Amino acid sequence: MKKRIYIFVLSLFVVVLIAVVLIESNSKSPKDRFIETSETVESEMTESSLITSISTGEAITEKSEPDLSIIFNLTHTVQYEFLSYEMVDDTDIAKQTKYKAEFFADGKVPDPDYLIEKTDYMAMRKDYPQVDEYISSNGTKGMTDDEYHDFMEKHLDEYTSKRHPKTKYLFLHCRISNAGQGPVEEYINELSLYAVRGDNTIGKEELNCYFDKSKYIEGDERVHHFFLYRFGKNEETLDCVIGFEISEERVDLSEENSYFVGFEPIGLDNPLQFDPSLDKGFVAVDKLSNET
Amino acid sequence: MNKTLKTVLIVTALVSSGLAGAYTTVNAANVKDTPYGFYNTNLEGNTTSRIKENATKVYIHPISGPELKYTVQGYNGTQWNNRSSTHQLSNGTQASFTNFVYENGDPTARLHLKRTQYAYTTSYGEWSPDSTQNYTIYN
Repeated sequence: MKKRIYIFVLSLFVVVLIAVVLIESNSKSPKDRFIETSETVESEMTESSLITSISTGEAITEKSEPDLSIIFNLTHTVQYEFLSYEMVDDTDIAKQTKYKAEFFADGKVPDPDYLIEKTDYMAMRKDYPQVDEYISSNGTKGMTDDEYHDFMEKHLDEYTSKRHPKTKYLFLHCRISNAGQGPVEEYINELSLYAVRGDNTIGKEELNCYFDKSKYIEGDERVHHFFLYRFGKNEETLDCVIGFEISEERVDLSEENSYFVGFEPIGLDNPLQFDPSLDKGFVAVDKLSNET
Repeated sequence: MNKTLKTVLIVTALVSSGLAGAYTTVNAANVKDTPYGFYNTNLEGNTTSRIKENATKVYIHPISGPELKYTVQGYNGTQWNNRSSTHQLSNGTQASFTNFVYENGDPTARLHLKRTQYAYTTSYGEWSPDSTQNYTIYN
């Protein structure tokens, strides 16, 4: 009997020992468990903040890839998401039918061979010192206002020539949303386009050409407010196409450029000393889907 | 002058005149308004800079807030210079400012704003560097 009890106790001890060994072999060290727990909590937090960010519309700044096609206006009340782009040469602008005349700022498709007038004021001022004095003094010296107007009527044509500047048209399909708490008046033409070649910014255009959702299309309203859009309520979204006319008057088009669209920082004096590729307020156009 | 030469000259003249008439002359102009705001605890400030495309007047339209004094400035590549006289405008005025930004070869313009009274409120308005018509002219 005593021997049976001894064998039972020994067997129980062996079973318990095996069980302990098995459990310990499947467990992790305190350090491992800490790391694992931390990672789980972090993962849960990231998921949680992602959901919060989406529901509130706030920008996601951590643990997520930034969306390089989304920017906000300067007051952070309107979100711009750029979806795709198409570049059209001036030689093709009249042939295309996708972009309709009524949506161009002046109500017609641009003439592929349009001419602009350029006046050589420097030569004029050199030839006529009194005109130079008048212009230098902001119209206070050299001649009277009437004398200046008479002079310009007689001589302006002598110093004015016409030429066609090479031009490209950049159309951007975008989604613009009211991200504020109430109605917002948005002047979409505060958007600027920067041209970059290599490491250098070589020129800039303002939104100047095309908007297919304008509400101001008659007379004086069209002149002043073609690019103004009044968002009526929070989260209203506008799916639209906007267009920049890029003229060699301001951007050298002799070679390929990279383009960036965004809002110029407040207080910027010289656009050519600004690098939009380093600014989060700008979107690289060539990273978007190309519709061409 | 023989008949053939006359015909050639007439056809050449007709073709030339036809071609000349086929091109549109565009008076490039930056006339769409953009907004500005000025907080009246500041002594002075500036709008963003905009491209000046011709020698027309600068359009300024103050909408709300305390009155401001306005001067048009041009950027010559190194510094901003006053290119107009300074005028105080009341809200609702559609002002056409005589300026010499383009005549001086400055590619960009901005408005320089000065407060006329200290106030914890913002003055709002809109402006464009070029214009297609004259409103109330300020020389």
